[in-house]
Amino acid sequence: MARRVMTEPNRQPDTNRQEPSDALTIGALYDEIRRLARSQMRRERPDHTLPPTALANEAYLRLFGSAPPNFTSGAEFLAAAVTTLRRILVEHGRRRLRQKRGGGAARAAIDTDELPAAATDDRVLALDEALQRLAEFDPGKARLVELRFFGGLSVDEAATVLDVSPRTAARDWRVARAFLRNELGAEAVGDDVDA
Amino acid sequence: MTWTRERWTRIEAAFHEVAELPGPQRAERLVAVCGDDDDLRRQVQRLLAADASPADPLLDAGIGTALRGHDPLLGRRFGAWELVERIAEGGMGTVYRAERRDGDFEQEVAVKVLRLGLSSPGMRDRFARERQTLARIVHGNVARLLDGGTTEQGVPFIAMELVDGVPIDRFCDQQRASLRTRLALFAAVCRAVQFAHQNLVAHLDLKPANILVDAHGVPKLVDFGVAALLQAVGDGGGPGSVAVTRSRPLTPEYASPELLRGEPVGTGADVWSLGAVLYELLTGVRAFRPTRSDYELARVVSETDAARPSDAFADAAAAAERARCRAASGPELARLLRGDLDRIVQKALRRDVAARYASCRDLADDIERHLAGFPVAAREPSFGYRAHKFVVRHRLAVAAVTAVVVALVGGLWASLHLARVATRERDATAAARREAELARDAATVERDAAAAARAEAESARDRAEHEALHARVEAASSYVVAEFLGDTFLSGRFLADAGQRDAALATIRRKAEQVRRQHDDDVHLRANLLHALGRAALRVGAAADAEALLREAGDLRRDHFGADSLEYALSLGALGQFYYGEGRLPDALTALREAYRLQRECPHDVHTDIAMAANDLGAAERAAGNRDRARELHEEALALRRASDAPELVAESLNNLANCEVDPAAARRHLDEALQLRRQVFGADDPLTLQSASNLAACCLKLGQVDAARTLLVDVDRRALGLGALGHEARSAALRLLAWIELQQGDAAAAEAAIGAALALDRQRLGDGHAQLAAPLEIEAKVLERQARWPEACDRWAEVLRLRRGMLPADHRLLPLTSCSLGLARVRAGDVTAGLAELRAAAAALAGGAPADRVDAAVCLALGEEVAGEVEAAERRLRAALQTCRDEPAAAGRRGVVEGHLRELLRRRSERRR
Repeated sequence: MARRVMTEPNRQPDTNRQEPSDALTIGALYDEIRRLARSQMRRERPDHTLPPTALANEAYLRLFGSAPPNFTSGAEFLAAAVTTLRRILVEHGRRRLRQKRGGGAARAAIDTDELPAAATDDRVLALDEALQRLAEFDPGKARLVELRFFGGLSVDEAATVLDVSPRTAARDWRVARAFLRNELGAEAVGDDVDA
Repeated sequence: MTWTRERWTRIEAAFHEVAELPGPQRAERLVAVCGDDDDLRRQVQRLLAADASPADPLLDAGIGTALRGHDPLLGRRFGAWELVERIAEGGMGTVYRAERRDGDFEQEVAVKVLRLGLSSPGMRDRFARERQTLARIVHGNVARLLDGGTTEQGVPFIAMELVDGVPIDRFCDQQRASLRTRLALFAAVCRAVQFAHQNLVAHLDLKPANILVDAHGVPKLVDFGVAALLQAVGDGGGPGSVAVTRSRPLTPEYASPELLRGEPVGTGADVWSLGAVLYELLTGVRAFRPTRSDYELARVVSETDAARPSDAFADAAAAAERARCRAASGPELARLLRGDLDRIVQKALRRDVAARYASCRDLADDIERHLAGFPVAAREPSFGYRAHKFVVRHRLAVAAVTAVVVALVGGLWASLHLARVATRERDATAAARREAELARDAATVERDAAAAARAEAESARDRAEHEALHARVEAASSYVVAEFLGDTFLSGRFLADAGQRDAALATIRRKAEQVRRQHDDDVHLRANLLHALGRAALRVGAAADAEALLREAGDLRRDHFGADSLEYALSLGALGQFYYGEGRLPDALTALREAYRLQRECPHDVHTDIAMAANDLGAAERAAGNRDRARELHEEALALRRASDAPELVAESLNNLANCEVDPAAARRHLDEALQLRRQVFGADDPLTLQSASNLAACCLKLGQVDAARTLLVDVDRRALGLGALGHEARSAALRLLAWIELQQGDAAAAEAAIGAALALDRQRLGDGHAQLAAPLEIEAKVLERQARWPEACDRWAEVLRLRRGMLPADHRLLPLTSCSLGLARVRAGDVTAGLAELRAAAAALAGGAPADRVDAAVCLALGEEVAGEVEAAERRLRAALQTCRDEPAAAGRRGVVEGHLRELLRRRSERRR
């Protein structure tokens, strides 16, 4: 199980950023996903094929070293993009936690190397694990949470991508969120602090 | 926690069942649902507790918050520029404040990092070319493009002059700027846009946020050409200059209809956006409010006009804050905006590009003319103006007819308004030029209609469920286009004489043949065009051709779209209007009832169409005597029209509703409002306004306000006289009512003169034998009776009866009641036997009818019997009628009349005995 790390985000300027090109890709890809999700909602033609933009293509190429598969629908592309983003974030988080812990727990509190988002790394990892558990017995809801959390999609947008009614999506989100809150909250109570 | 799928399904179901209940009921249900499965209950309880716990910022907001707080671009170099601060986020990229780092001098710029990947050398080349075009625009009111390039990763950026300013709308509000100040500032903006247009660059994303005003009050346009640049580079084609095709506008709320529809756009798109900005600057509200989807917005913008700016201050309380920002009161602002400024904004926001200001210079000129107190060009009726008027006009034709209060109505397609256009056009000195213009416009419209129909055919092929709606709405709009086509090529010119009418009809027939031949593979387009030609045939008075064409179009639509389609409903509606206009009421009712049913039952939300169907059916139901049903329908239409903010249609519905009201005071309220609305919308001298005034006068009469009625009617008569042939209908309505007043007041000669003049106008306008002649003829008959001119009265009553038999169902109460009048007149004219027979038959027909009708028939028969010498029978009949008045509340109102007749009968009898 992931540990909950109670470090405050460090406000010092970071002089030695890690992987700027990846970071750029993450932010841009996230925005791109949001944009696609919005346009997906607005489409008059539900079956219209959304061509992945040049940016998303490039992101894919750089991240996976191969050309993106030929997606047949905007929804499919979106779902794949969100999964990609999730993998990047989780990898990123793991790497940074490894670096941080490499110097021992005492160093973590004064780590100047920390990216502003690092405070959430552990929580992202915890959520990722909880999602993996959810996927074991309810993969559909795990997809929904993935779209909501990693893709930033609204419930209605996610419903469009998953091709379910907004009402169903809202119900599913409610129970999945309760599950996850319970999972994440239980850790805080049970495992407390690791510093 | 982890479970099996089965277990989780169980937990989940129990969770939902309990979670949907309000708090207090939960515990009980939880026990009921879980039974003795304690573990299940515990799991569900945990989920419920988690469900009720406060939101988790990360889980509920998603990773975006974390990502957004972190911008890895800050501090990085783009070319010579280091990004210092994030300023704004837009549809096309992120804007940063940046500083120059490679030279001796310090310079601050705005760097826009574009959301666009330039992966191929070709894209990079195009980007570079576009940048050079943009760099040519050097103007004091345009933020200059300074530099641009791509990072190693291929991320493109441009560096622009950094404008330290606030959006123009906020600037004006902060300054509490008056309308004049706002207009002057805005005119400068128009000139700057014009300058860019002359350099073949369109903005395509004009909105307040892109028009900044600096500390010195100088407006600066930012992002010029960026939209076109993005498009040109991203789509990999076309010059990024004046004419480009975009799939998606950057800011839909300010985008022109053609931009929203994804059609090729030009500088006219900027004119529209400027119009939308001007609207907002003047009023503080958006010309078009954001909608749920671009599609919906495209429909709204394509099918409706923006409200007049002056209307934005109608509600003084709601507008108080906006008025304060303009250093004036709401009513003052409404007054300042009404007229020229309304027209200027509306001309910039014409849906048809050709009808808009031809350039931003023209828009700026007009604003400056207005500021200097000169007349503005927006006042001239342009083609677009007439095109817009057409749509309104063909609705008004309905209003013109249904407005008549005193009688049954008909003549739906009175060509009043068309004739008015004709008059104006005759007056125009440049008639030849106008004709050429019309021909060109007609060709454009035809081409557009064909293109729209083609696009429709394409989209209809793959219809997903909610796309069917889209196609239908599109069909409706192309229907309007097709209608317009019919109106345009007639445009009044053909109506002047019989020879021209024949020529027009020949044209229509030839065009119909052409349509059948050329569009034989496209049923939808063929139907639309035939329909339009049918309407055109109606205009030239070729009823048989019109009916055939409308039916052909209707049959095509029914076979193609189905008998329960909206397309077919539109055909039925038009046919129903046609039958109604021709006085064929049973046919009209059948068609209009079905059209209304379809409009109600087919899923769609075009409320104007539903309102129109309800209105037209309401008019027909009322003509058929179904007053209560008519009232329901008109109430429905009124509510829908009030919601859609169309004052001229609201006025129409108010009029029609008033006609259905039993309570004259209620009717008067409707009519007062209708008259007020029409005076505002059309002016005091418009035939429709006059119609409203006549209706109000009729209502005053019912309320016993004779002097008020007379004043109104004399005014209508005078104004209508000034309108020439256009005023005939209004004038005849006024004269008819004046005749009625004179008759009531005992001046039979004056009444005869008035009703004679009214009838002459009506016969000329409608032709002999038209159903609408029944009402004035009835009044004339009564005038003649007053003068004891019985044989002439007989003739009139006979004509009234004939006309009513043609338009009413055979069992309608009005038929025997008219027979009563005719029978009595015959008896008095000396034809006692035939007259009495007619009276008896009529009384028998009414025997099972309403008490009041039975009483009326009895009175007529008794009076006839008295003349025939059957005085005892007459007395018995009147006494029986009196008893009916006492027994039946519905006939109580007749009691005084019956008593009067009985008294007179007894008096005459005793005189004779003496």
